[in-house]
Parts: sequence; structure tokens; C-alpha cells
Amino acid sequence: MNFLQPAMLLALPLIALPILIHLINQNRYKTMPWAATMFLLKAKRMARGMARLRYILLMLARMLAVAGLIFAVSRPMSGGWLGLTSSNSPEVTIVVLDRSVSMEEQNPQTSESKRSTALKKLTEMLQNTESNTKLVLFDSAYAKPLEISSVAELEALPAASATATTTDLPALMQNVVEYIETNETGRTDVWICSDLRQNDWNPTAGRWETVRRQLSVREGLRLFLLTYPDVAKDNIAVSVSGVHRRESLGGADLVMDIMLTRSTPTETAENVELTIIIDGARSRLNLELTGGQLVRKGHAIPLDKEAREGWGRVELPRDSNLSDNVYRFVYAEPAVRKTVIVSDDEDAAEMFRVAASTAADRSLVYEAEILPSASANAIPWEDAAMIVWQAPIPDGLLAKQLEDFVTSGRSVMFFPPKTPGANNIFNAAWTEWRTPDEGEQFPFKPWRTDADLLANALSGAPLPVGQVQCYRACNLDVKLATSLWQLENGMPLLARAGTDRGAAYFCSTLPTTAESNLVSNGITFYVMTQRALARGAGALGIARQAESGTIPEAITSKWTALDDVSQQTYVSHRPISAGLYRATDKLYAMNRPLSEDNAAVISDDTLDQVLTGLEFTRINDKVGGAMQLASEVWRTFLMLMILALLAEALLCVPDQVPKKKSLEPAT
Amino acid sequence: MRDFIDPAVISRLAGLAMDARQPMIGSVSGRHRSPTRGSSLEFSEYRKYVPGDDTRRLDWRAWGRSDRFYIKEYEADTNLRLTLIVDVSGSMNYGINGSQDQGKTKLDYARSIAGTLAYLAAAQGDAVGLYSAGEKFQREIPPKRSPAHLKFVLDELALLKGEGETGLPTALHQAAEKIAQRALVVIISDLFMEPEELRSCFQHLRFRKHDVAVFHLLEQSEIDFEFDRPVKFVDLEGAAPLLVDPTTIAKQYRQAVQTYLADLKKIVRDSAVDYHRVSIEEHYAEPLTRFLLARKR
Repeated sequence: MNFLQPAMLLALPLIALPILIHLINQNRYKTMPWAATMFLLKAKRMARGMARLRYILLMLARMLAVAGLIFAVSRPMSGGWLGLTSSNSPEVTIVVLDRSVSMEEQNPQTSESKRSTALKKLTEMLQNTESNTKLVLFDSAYAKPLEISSVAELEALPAASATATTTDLPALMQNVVEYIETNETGRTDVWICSDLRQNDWNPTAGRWETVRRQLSVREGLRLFLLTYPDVAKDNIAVSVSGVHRRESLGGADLVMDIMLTRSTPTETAENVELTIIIDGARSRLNLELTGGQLVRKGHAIPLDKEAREGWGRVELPRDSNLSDNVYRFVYAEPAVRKTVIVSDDEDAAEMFRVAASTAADRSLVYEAEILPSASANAIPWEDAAMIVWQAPIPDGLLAKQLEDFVTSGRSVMFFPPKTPGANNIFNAAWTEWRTPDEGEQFPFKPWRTDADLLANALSGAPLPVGQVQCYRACNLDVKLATSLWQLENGMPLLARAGTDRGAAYFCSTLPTTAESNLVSNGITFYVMTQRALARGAGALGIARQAESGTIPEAITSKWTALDDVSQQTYVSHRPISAGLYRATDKLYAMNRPLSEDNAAVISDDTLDQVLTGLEFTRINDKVGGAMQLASEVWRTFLMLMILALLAEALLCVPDQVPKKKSLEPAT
Repeated sequence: MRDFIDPAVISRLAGLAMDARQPMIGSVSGRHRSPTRGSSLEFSEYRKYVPGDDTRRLDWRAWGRSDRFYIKEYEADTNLRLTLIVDVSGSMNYGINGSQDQGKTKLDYARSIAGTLAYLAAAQGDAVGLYSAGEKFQREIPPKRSPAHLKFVLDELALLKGEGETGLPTALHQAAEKIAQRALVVIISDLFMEPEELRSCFQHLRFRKHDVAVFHLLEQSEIDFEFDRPVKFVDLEGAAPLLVDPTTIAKQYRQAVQTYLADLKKIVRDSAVDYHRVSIEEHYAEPLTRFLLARKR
């Protein structure tokens, strides 16, 4: 237990005072001649058990009363077990705040969210412990240190408010570690406030290893986890995808895929009433949700034929988390999904053309153009959604143009040329063609199924990647790339280079029959081509869907809000909030990342593994709960003292003395 | 007159005769009933004449009415043997509020009661004897009815000194054996012993046809046991001192006292003992008055 006035504990030996007084009293007896000794002996015999017990209880009550008084004036803290006292206060307290959408889950009774509850309790704790500590906030949205001058400001800080972002906790912790090392913070308390969502913690992230290694060697560092792992049972999240305008016989339709995700899957059917607002006009849609997820594909809503572009949102009735009840979208006439293929291999180029121009969505226009490498400078950079580059990696201006193309948000797929060159791009370079050491085809490692080009289908079914056979592959020398598919020997077969926006993919083999069976087993090849194209096309049309937290403030600050809700959002908050905006020539719908709809929470074992080697204190809290992390509890001790005094008084109450007529004559 | 006898009390009680509750066998004529027939004025019964009866005692009127001879019998009056047994154990030195001052102890109280009773008995012509019972039977003065004997008894009373453990049960058994004829045995003691020990004593005395009376002397503090701080109790009969916090055993002490008194009361009732519980804080004339009045015919 810890105390705000620990010096008062020096008085603890006074607990022995009752015993001392008792011993003194024992020696201050009076001597008296006595005749009725026989009764004394009998009484002593009778009282031997009870009297001793009563005496022990009396002593205990008196000692407890003294102890209660001493503890009360020592100002004990209920969070003493956390070691949170002014005498033990750290030089720096770092608050790592998960501001993801899932942290906005509320307690219906108090309307407090997990985030606000965590902030409130941390504030109370820091105020109650009267610790003179430097407070630094690392929030998940900005992931930068923010020094706070007063604890009272913590709750009201804009940097601690709700966002529509997700959390990359490993990256955030990496920043925390860097801050600690850079600033040599000395005794430091790190408080991680999180709901332990799987997607936020990403337990398999390689950064954890670094974080663990660096934190474990820090002396004077204490790690506290203020967690809210409970998942609301009634929460439903809504999202839409594939929003596009489609001409119809009578006019036009707005087509979209609507997805409902329930936090706790149940077989009970639930009728959900959605409100769909398009350019301010409301309509309703009833859906019956069974199980964990419902996808209504191709839902069409009639549009005014003249409405070429616009905005809208889909809303759910109120539930535990208001932040995932709205999903915004913008629409416009879709851009042509144009692919430029730069290749000197006619067979391969044709295969690329077929895969890129075969329509995955018949309401869209697909185009593919083949250019020899010598004509690469004729690439229509502005119109292309994707470039397939199966030629030696360029240098100079062409390389710069390719990098700019990717940076603008569009996609490039690099395939190895017949003769690899010495140039590199995105820190990657083709080196040499290889054949399997044994057998005719390369063995593979499992591919990445959770995201990117080879991710499972919406239904959860995996792509038939396992049926692909690779007979020749070009070695890729790459740094800072995400491997999506590897050969058994560790050579990447499909990788994505690390870029701020857009995507640069490197596929180490060709679809031609000498290199692989990608064409004969066409699904994998077609899907990965179309996904790369769709990603690139997303940056091409007028209507753009974007995840909050992915566009910098420098860009969003120039936008104009499309609806009232977005109008009320601070300009500085636009990058991390949901909203509808118009840029000069584009429409933007900013929404939460869909990974936030996944309610999976990491298990205790996983958490232990993530923080292996680190000593941490975990406090499982309830959203809106009344439990305090640390508060003064002197009243409890005062009450204890009063109770002890009452017990002492009861034990001391003398037995009723018989009236003195006991010696009336008895004959 | 001795200082332990108050003349005012003597004069106040002089009008109250000390009667025996049962017929006494005396050596001379007195004011007490005798189990034998005698020549007192108190008619007893008629019985048929048998040869040898004194013809002067024939009831001629009864002969005239029934033509039969009847002898008219009268009660015999005799004197009383008052045997005083005084407990002289150390516990009798306990006085009012624990005082051991002269004139305030139980022994002083016993001395006053015994002296007054001796005086009253002698005044009505009864014999007076004295036994003092300490650890053993200490002093033994058989009952006699001469004034000189009374002086002797009173002198002995004045010399009584409380010391040692009580030997009252032994003394009572010895007294029961030694007192040959029916007597009024008055026991004056604090009776601090197991009641069951007294039962056999009383029954022994009653078996010997004695009229047994007990003055049970107690002090109020021995009953109430009201102390508020540790006390070292020094036993007046020589047992080891006891250091006690009275608050821890007061309840049990009072319970023990009440049980003892209840047991004693039952024993004296069963043994037909004339029992008087006396607080030594009251004047000794009061219990004596109650004693004498209860015996008034």
C-alpha cells in the first residue's frame, strides 16, 4: 500500500500503545485483602476461555483503532498496489491512447466511451496521486509526442478526441520507445489505453520485437495496460463499397454493396433499418441480419439522370458505437480503367492485356494499351490507372515518372524482362533468372491471405493460388518490401514495395507457359491483375473513397465540406475524421478503415507473448465503470477506526451489576 | 458490659424471648417446651389411668362424666442449651469495604451477635456454651447457666481472633457429637466453603435433634464485585494472592456467588436450618430482631 504522507507511517509503532498501556495497568494494581477467594477461583476458571478471547479482541480493536487513525492521516491511495504515489511518481508519464473507432464503444447508461473512460480515469489518477510528472500523450492518430502542461487538460485535448482512424500500436510503441531513448526520460510510466483489438495490436508485427528489446533494457520504466477488452453485444457496423453510377433505361442508378457487421455473431435474426441519404434525400432500407455479417451486393438506388456526381451516407440506428453507424460515399461517372502494358514480349503482353481489359464489373469501361519499351515515353500518364512494366527497369526521367505515377495513388506491376538490367526502382532490382534446384517447379510458402492482391475473396474463400506452378523465376533484390508470396527458398514471387501512396508490385515470374501456368490457371492471375487495377483506378476517378488517417492535412485543408457534419469538423481534424469533401476536381468520402469493424480481441496469451520479457500491470476496466485507478481512501480507514472503537466500547460495556438487594435477609 | 455488646440493643431485645423451635431437654425448669410431660400450666392430653399413676393427677370431672379414670397431663417446661459456634477463620477478618479495622470485621460482627444472644439466653435462665472453629476446633466451652459462666463466655468471645483456613465443617461435625443433649446451635460464619460440605454438617446436627440456626455473614463488595482496575487479591486465609482484572471476570464471579447462594438456600431449607443471611453493613440488632421474632411462639 502507498500513501501520500508516508512520513506519518513512522507513527505505526504506536499500534503497540494499547498493549503498553495494558502492561502498565497490570503493574498499577491495588492490593486488597479478600475473603471470598473461592468465588474468585471459580470465576477465573469459568472465564478462562471467554475472558481471554474477549481480552484479545479488545486489544485487537484498540490496536486497529490506532492503526486506522495512523493510516487515515497517512492518506492512503486505493491504487497503491500500482505504486502510484507522489513519493513514487515518475519523471515522465507517457499516455499511449488508442483513438481508433472501436474505442468509441459506449456504455448506454453513462454515454461514456472506452476512450473517454480511460482518459477520465487517468486524469483522476494523476490528479489524486498529486504526482509532479511530465505528461506526454502519444495518440494513435498522430503518433507524435504531445507534452501536456496540466493534467486537467488531458480529457479536453483535441489530440485525445474521437477519430475515424485505426491504430497501428506496434508503430506507435516504436515511436514511444524512440521518444524515451531520445529524451532519456529516466523513471517513466507508460500507460497504454486500448481495447486490445486484434487489428490495432497486430501481434505478429515485426516491430514488437524491437519494442520489447528496447523497453526490456530500460531501467525505471513501468508499463501499465488500461484495457477495455469487452465487446458490446448489440453493436452493428455498416459500410459500403463499389459505389458507382450506372446508366439505366429509365435514367440512372447508384449501385453499391452494403455490408453489415455484427460485433458478436449470433444466429438470431435481427431486422436492421438503414437510412440512405443521397445528396440530402433520405430513403430507408430494411435488412435482416443473421450471423456475424450481411453483404447486400449491387443494391441500386434510382438517381436523377442529370445527377452525374454527388455524395451520400448510410446510417444505422443508434447502438453501442455511434462511430461505426455511418458510412459515407461519393459517386461520379466512373473513370475508364486504363492499363498501359510496356513489354517487348508479345505473348506476355497479350496475356496482360486480356487480364487487364476483361471487365470485372460490366458497368465500367476497361481499356488496355500495349507499348514496346522503346515507346515508353509515350505512356499517357494522366489517363492510366495501372502500368504493367515487363521491361528492364528504367532510370532517369522514366524512372522518376513511374515513381510519381505510384505516388499519385495508382498501381504499377513490374514483371521481369527476358534480360534483367542493372537499374533499380523502389529499392528493387531484377538480378537473374532461376530454375528450381530440384524438379520442374518451385515449391511455395503460404501466401498472404488477409490483404492485398492474393487476399481471400469476400466470402472468405481463398484464391486457388496453390494450383499455380512456377518453372522459372527472376530473382528480385528488394529492400523494404512486403512479401505477399514467397518461394520455398525465400525468394519473393510477389512483393509490394513500400510507398506512401499507390502500389508498386513486383511479380518474379511471367504468365507465359515457359515460366508458369498463371494463364492456364487464370483465376489467380486475373484476380491479382484486376485488384491492382482497381486500386490504381481508385486514384483516377472523380469520386474517391479514402480511409481516415491516410491523407495529410496539407491536402485536406484545401477541401470544401459537402455536408453539414463535415462542415463542423475542424480543418485540423479532417485527416483523422470521417467526412465528405470536394477537392478542386474530385470528391472525397473519408471513412473509418474497415478493419475497425472486426471485433476480434487478442487473447491474454497473445498479449503475454506480445509483451514477453516486459513487466507490465494490466488493469481490466469496464467502459463507463466507476472503478478508480487511484484515489484517496482515508475515509475507509477512518470508518475502520470508528468501527474498531465501537467494537472496543461494546467489549468494554460492564456486565449489568445486580441490584444491591442481593443481601436482603434470606431465611 | 463488653464493648462488643450494645446495652441499648440488649434493652431493646430484652422483651423478646429466645424460644426454641422444638422441644428441648433441659436440666431445670425453664420457658422452653420439653418432650416429656411435666407440671407446667400448659395442658397436653388425657390418657387412661394405669396403676402406679399419681392419683392426684386424676381428672375427677372426667370420671364423673364417663365413669372412667383419666390422667390429665401437662407440658413440661425446661431450660435451653444455647451453643454458639463462631467461625474464627482468617476470612472472618474481612470487614466493611475490605477494611480490617477493629470493630468492622465479620468477626467483630459475629462477636456482637454471639455476645448478645449469650446475654439474652442467660437472662432467661438458659445455659450458654461457645465453640470457636478455625482450622481446627479451637475452643470449647460447654453450656452452663451460671452468671459466672456467662462472664467466662463473654471473655472468650472478646479474645477470639481470626486466622488460618476455615475448619467449620469439621467443627460442626465434632459439635454434633459433643453436644449430648438437644440444644439450640447458633452458627455464625461467612460459610466460605462448598455448600455440599455444609449439607452433611447440618444433617448431622439435625439428626442429633438440635435446633440449628445460621447467621451467614457477608459483605456487599463480596457480592457485587465492583472494581474497575486490576486488583491483587490477598487471601485472608493464606492462599496465594491473585492478580485479577476484575472487569474480565466480574460476570463469572457474580454468577458463582449467585449459584452458591442458591445452593446454600436449598441446603438450609432441606435441612430445616434457621438461616439468616446478614450483611455486616447493617446493625447487628436487625438480624437479631428478625431471628428472635421468627422464633416467637
